Amino acid sequence: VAIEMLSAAADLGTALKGFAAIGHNAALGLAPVGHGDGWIEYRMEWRSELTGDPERLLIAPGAIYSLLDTTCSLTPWAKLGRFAPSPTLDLRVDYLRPPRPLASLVARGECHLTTEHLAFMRGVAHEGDPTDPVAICTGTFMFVDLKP
Amino acid sequence: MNAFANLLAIRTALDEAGAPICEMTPGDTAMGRPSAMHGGAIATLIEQAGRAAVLKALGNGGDQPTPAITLVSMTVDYLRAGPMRDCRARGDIVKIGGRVANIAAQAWAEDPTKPFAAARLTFLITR
Repeated sequence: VAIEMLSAAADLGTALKGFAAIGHNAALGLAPVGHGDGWIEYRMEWRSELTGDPERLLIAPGAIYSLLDTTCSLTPWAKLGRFAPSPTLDLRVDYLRPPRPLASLVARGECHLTTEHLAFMRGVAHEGDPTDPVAICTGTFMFVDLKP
Repeated sequence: MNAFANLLAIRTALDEAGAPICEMTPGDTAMGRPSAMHGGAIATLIEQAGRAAVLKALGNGGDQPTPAITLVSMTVDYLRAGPMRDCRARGDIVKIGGRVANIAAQAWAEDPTKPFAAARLTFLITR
């Protein structure tokens, strides 16, 4: 029902807010930052629940993976101009360096190409400066008709 | 166990052969869409299982301090939707050397021969 409601959302910005309020995305505390032709951005505020290392206060690798997965899986909409559910087929994340203590992260997803069935994506997670990334990713997503 | 793994109700256990595995009872914090787990929750379960496998392989170093293990990369293949039911993940050592550990991992619900995700992980070991 939630997916259908969001599919009918008038614009991408509204839909990105809606997706951020669901399940795991809500637990991550995601908030949309912006979107354009073939790209979207989500922000993940630092919270203690997202850390992996209690002493160093760093956001956990798993949470960074989730941020990039959510971002890249919704980016095809920004390319297509309509909502087409696209679960992850495969996703590789490279952890370039640890995030800074207490740092919030921004992820940007970009679409290389969409075909009838597939979307080829790349993404980057950073602390505000995209030229100084924490993690980068490459993934393939598949358009499907999701049944509830 | 880290706070993010706790948020997803991930815990470490031993399988019947005594090898470390990770278990998760997915709740709302792990849900991606109705009736399916989020890919990132699955990846986190797998990462914790991989980390447990590396720690087990490194063993107890006696007087040596435990090495730090850092995730360098993780690639997850999503084979089918991850069900919102109790599930497990296991990491197997492909190779472990002085500086790098290569892990193959998978996650499943009822039947380990029908995994819903398979992954490769690379960890850096620093002593």
